[in-house]
Amino acid sequence: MPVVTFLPAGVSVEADPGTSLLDAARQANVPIRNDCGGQGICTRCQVEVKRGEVAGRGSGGGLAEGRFLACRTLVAESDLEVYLPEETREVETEVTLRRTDPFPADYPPPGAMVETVELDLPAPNLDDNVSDSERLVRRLRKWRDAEYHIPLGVLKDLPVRLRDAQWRADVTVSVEPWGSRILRVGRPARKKPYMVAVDIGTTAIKAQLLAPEAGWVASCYNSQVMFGPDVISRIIHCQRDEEHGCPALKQLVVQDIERLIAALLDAQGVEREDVWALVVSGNTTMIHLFLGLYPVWIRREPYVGCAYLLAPVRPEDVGVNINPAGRVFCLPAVSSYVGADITAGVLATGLGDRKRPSALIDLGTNGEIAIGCEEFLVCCSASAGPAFEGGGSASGTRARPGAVESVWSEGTLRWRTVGDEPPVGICGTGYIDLLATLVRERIMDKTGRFVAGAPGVVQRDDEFLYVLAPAEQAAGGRDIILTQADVENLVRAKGAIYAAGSVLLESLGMDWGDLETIMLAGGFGDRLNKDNAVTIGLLPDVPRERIAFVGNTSLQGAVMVAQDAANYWKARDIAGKMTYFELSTHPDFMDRFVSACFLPHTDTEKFPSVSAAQE
Amino acid sequence: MPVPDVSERLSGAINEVTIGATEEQGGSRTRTVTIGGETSFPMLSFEGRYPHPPAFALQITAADVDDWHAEAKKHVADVAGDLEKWAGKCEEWGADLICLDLAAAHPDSGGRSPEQCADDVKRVLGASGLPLVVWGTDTDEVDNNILPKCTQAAAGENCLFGTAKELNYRTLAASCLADSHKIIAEAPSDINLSKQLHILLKDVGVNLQDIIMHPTTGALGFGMVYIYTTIERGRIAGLSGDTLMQQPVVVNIGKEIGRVKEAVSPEEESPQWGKVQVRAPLWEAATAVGYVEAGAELLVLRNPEALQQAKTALEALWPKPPESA
Amino acid sequence: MAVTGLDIYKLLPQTNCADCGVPTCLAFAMKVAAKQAALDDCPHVSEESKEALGTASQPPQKLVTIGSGDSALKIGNETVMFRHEEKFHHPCGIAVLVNDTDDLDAKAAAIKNLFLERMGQNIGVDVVAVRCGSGDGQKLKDAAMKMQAALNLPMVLIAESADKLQAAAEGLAEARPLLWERNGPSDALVELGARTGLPIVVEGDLDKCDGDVQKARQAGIEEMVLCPGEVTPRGALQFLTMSRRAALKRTYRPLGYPVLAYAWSQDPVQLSLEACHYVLKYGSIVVLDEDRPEYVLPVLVARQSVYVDPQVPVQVEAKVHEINEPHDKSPLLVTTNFSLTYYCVLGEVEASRVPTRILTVDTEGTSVLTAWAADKFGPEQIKEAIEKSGVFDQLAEGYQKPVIPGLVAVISGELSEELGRKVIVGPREAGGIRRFFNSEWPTLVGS
Ligand code: SF4
Ligand code: FES
Repeated sequence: MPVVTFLPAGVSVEADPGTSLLDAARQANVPIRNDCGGQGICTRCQVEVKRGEVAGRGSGGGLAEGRFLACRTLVAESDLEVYLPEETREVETEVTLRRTDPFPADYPPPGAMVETVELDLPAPNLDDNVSDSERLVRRLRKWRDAEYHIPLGVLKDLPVRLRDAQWRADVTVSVEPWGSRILRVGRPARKKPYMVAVDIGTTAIKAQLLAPEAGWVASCYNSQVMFGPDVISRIIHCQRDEEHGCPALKQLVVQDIERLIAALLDAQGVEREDVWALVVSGNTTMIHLFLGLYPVWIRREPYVGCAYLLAPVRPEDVGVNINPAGRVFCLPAVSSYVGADITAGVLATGLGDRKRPSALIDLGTNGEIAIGCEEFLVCCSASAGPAFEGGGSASGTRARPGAVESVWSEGTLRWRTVGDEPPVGICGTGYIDLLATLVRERIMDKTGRFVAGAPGVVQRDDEFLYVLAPAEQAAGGRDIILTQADVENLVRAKGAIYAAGSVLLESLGMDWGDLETIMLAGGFGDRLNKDNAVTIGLLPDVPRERIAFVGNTSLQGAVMVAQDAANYWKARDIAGKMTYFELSTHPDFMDRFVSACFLPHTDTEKFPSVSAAQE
Repeated sequence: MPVPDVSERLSGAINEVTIGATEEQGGSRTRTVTIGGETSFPMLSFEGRYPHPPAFALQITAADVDDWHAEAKKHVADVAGDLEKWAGKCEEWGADLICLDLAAAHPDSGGRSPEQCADDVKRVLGASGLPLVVWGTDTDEVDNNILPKCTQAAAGENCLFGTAKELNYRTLAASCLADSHKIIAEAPSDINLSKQLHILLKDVGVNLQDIIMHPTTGALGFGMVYIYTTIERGRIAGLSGDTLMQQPVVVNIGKEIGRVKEAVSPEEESPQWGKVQVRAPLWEAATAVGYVEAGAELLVLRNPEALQQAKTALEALWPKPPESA
Repeated sequence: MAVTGLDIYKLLPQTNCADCGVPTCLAFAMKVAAKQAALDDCPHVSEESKEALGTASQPPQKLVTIGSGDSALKIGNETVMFRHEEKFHHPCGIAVLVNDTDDLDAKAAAIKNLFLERMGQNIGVDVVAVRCGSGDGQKLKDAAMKMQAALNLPMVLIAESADKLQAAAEGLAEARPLLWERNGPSDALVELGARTGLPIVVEGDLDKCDGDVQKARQAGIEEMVLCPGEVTPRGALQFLTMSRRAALKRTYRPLGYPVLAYAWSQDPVQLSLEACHYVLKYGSIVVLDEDRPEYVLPVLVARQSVYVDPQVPVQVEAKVHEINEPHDKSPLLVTTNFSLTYYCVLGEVEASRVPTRILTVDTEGTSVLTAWAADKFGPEQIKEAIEKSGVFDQLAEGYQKPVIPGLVAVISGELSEELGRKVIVGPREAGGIRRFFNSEWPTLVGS
């Protein structure tokens, strides 16, 4: 079997002929950038073959001399030496820290998922001689009436600890579905238990530290991206490699979370031992993978996951390094394609408490939509893909410093990036602006096709594309471009979202106009231009004050649950109340989708403000 | 309780589109054909108008007719290869329009040059006074090469040129605008795609009133019913006021009949299906009548017998407006 | 009126107890609205709710059964004017006319010959209309018995007056023929129908039908079929349209019955076209005085087409389709058996004029990406389809390389491993096939 050696790392792996270099690298655990999951679209996986013969058609097509696409280049008969240029190695492992409003000094408040109470216990005597544990529980019940469970580890030390604390002890308890668990008993420490809330997105992972005066959100790419941009590719990986696939993916996400926690602790100057809980949100597949649950039946008819309602587990069970006596909570999901991220979103936005129906649209990779009010909650998944998170596009990136986040026209096209840094790529809000501006300027027609000869439109290898920023201006030394395939992806993604919302509304006998508020959630950038979102038909043409950008509601929901156990129950209620609609089999979906794959929409009368602006 | 009045007054009407220009109108046609103008579903005279009978075009081509099925070929055998004669025949056979199919421009079918195609157009216009439909090939590059020359050659004649598609509409739209022709907008059996194309055409300056739509065509038993339903859906939208669906509909039936075994399989092979000389034209006529039922107004056929049969059937259906009765 | 899921939801207990087998009340309500579940499946629904929903959901057009046993014809119960709004539910009966004076053996043989199969479906003539041309009721009965014995198909019995129908109706009551008294029903026919329990035809213009239906209903007849009588095709179309609209859109029950349309044209070609037209537009039984296959065939195919459920993804046969007469060095394209996908590919291949094989994999009629996501269009399924088809045997060495859609490029590696052969990644959209054939494909095969 040929041996492939990856340079400069110097890692070797045996690979069957016919294996792509990308797959070989995965087997060797050498990260290679691949934003399209190995479909030959993103051209991020470029490598140089230093020695040996390869097969396939990974070269040419506009690549520099000697460069090959790792995903399209196949191992042949000979041993290989493959060099990874710097930009290919730059699978962004870097963690971005962002400041947020700091929590108050007495944070977290009473009633959090994990909290410490200082209790005075009556010392035992001959009349009152119940056991130590009963004594503790009796006292705890006065504080908060519940079932209490004392794990053996805590029990062992209990007599010593209580006496050592002279019957005035700090008791750290967690909320569990069946009651409460006692995590620690000891001398009063005057230190609250800290927590970390995590949102595992298919594309990016975010975490926030819940500690006094902490004001940090850390984020990074989900390293699983190297196995494909969407949940399906990840599931397929588990399926293909039954033995190692699922553990490998779990490992990656746990490592990512570890790095995020490290960055947060570092920024705040907090010890790992002080973190007592992890509260995790994310879509159903991500949660499955995080827990190491085999996700294969999620993608197969009738689309059934292993578990949606999950009991808390011990940190060591998932392999996260926080206080070992702490707890890991996962928010409840609704179905295989509507996950805890949506439950969290509904919680965070109060969708289920409203008098009048509103909608929550999560512009993540799955593109879930929830509609409801206090009377009902329905949801569906649009399978929109990661286009608005920058996935699968030639110059796509997540919202990070240097990402083009807004675009406008002043005769010629102008743009600005996050942090005003040299452009590294385009993020979701940048794409929304870019599409809207190009249509408005008639640089592309309403199907999204570039107009030959329009300013900025160039032809490469028979394809038209638009150059937003030439290589000289860009950070990576590559043109920042929008290709025809990118546009198709984006149009399909926005079409899927709009169509899914329309079908969901229709099955309720409602219309977009009946919604009080349309909340757009997701991590695609902070500078959402509502008019542009309507101009491309991502959002319906309703009065702009009804559109609200609500940010990462999945993380917000996780924070809310962590800081207030009442929300833990509420999230479960939400999941139970939610009705899931399967759209892939809905007879009208295809029709609505086709009509929405146009800019803004085939039914122009549904977008009067856009038509008026174009006249 | 009396029988309720169920007639529906719809808010929209289908565009009236005229093809051809007489001498006074700057052309050389001996007559023009107008289609469209309906205010109800086909033939429902109790609730709306259907002012013009469905129009029939017969297809002629400079390409060889080897791939025509026998029952259609037998009628044109002695005129194939001579467009002028063939055009004259079409008039005799009772066609309302002539449809010149430019298949011969495709490199695999002879690759007639743009100039030759333009000349074909001229010769057909010279040989017959009927309004002309000119139908391009199935290949964009070829179309973009030949159609501008053809529209020019027919300038002033107010012909109907096709087809503009989502991926290739600019060239034909510009030529039709320049030479004042009507245009066929072709979108594969989907009203959304069809509307999108109309918006695109409008955006490059084509008047929505100058468009005839072609939702593509399938024969009875071979795809017809999807298109039938697409036409019905479009018609509902158009009659309800959607200006992007008020375009009359053309279907190009003649080409499709050969795909249907039941229609053309010779008796020796399929005795259980009866006489092929009955089946083949009848199938073409039945397909045409079906499409009219859905809403189509312009039907392109190959077989003159089918033309006669369909016309006769539609006479029994079409409610002549009082003035022409 | 269509009842929405939300309307039904309001009638439910809203406890989400899941006893109905669906996780939430709203989900259950949606299923009821989509007619995938019955309100009774919820054990907790109140009587008032059931009643409230009952009236709203009764079918506006009566279901009528003609004939008995396996060959019985059920017509009516239609819910829409246009098939895309839902579907046409009960395929119309196509009847061939027989006179009791005819050579009955010859007729029976001719009708048997019209028993056809097409695309895996039986599409033959499924009703016999026996007319009392002799004017003798006994003769009609004999003829009907004979046809019944020979064909065992549902029957329409036609006579000028009720008395001529009596013998046949009584003799054949078990077989549930439809009784058609021309210009009827007279009081005598109503009486006969009520007594035998057989369905009857109500003939005339809409006003007459309206009155006669009410009369017959009072006499206890439930199953009726309307007929516009001897009118022009245009008149018939109007009758068919108006009666169905009255039933469906106004819930006008006296006209809520299926309609029999008779093709009166003399010329057989015109008769065939007229019949096609009734099949497309609302006829529930179409009667033809014609039994030659060349004239009947288009009518049968029209029925098969228009009664296809437009909401079921249409599938093409999963097999190797040979286009433009392929040879052993022709490309092999692989795609799903979703008909839209296939026809897009087919269109491009035909236009390319390149001899090609298209292998359609059974993905239950789903498109490429959907099928891939749901694990119906993965390496195993494609491999299995290739092996089952034996298509490689028809291809020369160096050409046994399947071309898969660019949308599923990700599976190429694994598929080629499974097959032990090179796999070519084709264009992402059908629109790229022609360019692919011209530029890339020739460089990828042969070696
Ligand atoms: S059984 Fe009835 S009450 Fe219970 S969930 Fe189903 S519909 Fe609701
Ligand atoms: S991974 Fe190779 S091009 Fe995207």
